[in-house]
Amino acid sequence: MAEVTLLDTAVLLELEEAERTLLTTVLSDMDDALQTLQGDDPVRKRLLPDGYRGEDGGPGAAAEFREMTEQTLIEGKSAAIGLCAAELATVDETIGLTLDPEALGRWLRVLTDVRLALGTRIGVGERRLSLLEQLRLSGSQRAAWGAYGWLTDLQESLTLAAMGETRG
Amino acid sequence: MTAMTAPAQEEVREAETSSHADRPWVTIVWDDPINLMTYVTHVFMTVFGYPKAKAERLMMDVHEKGKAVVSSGTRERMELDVHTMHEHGLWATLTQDV
Repeated sequence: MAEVTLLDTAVLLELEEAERTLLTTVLSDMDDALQTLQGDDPVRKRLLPDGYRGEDGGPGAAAEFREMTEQTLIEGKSAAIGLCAAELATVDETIGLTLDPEALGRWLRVLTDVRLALGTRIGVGERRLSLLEQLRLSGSQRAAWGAYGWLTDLQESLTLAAMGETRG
Repeated sequence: MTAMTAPAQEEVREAETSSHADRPWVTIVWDDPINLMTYVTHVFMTVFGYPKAKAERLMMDVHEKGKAVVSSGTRERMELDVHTMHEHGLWATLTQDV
């Protein structure tokens, strides 16, 4: 399992090979998805939300805000994914990933985006699966829920580390 | 999560003393089923510089009441705050205070 260790001014993240493979795939998929999100796609609405609700801010304010910010938002998220993927490519079984506060903050944002995209696709929040229901899922669905759970654990550990705490 | 202490007293705003145009704008963060409570607290601390107790109170408001006002100021400033929240994956909008 992924191990998160608090160092003096940084955090050490150690991943098993299967975990690195999973993360690499997920980051690549995420970057592809970011570039192709369109229209009323719920993932687009969650990753790139409206800045105004309804008529707040006057007619057209939400569309104007989106026009002003959406491309910058996509580029920022994509660049962060690229940096995380590049870091991931430099580690192996013996070398963990040493993350300074800035890199750690970026990893947290990227993991958030990945969980938002994956979680929205599989319907997290719409339903809570019992163990029996989980066992009845098809292979790919079960893998997606498994990946989501693993990403959630990883993000929780890294967030606590960023706050100077370890998981109790 | 541990139980929170009673929320700090909010100032009561007197609507009649200010015209519509003078009313500040606010950034609202909305609850969602995916973001982690610890992460939301962390974002409020690092982005707004709030102490942990205040960040946790705002996070609990988001979680329990469905939303919380996390900052207020000019419309331009709030548009920037909303954009920053979106960069961090939080669901935020701005509106003029009532």
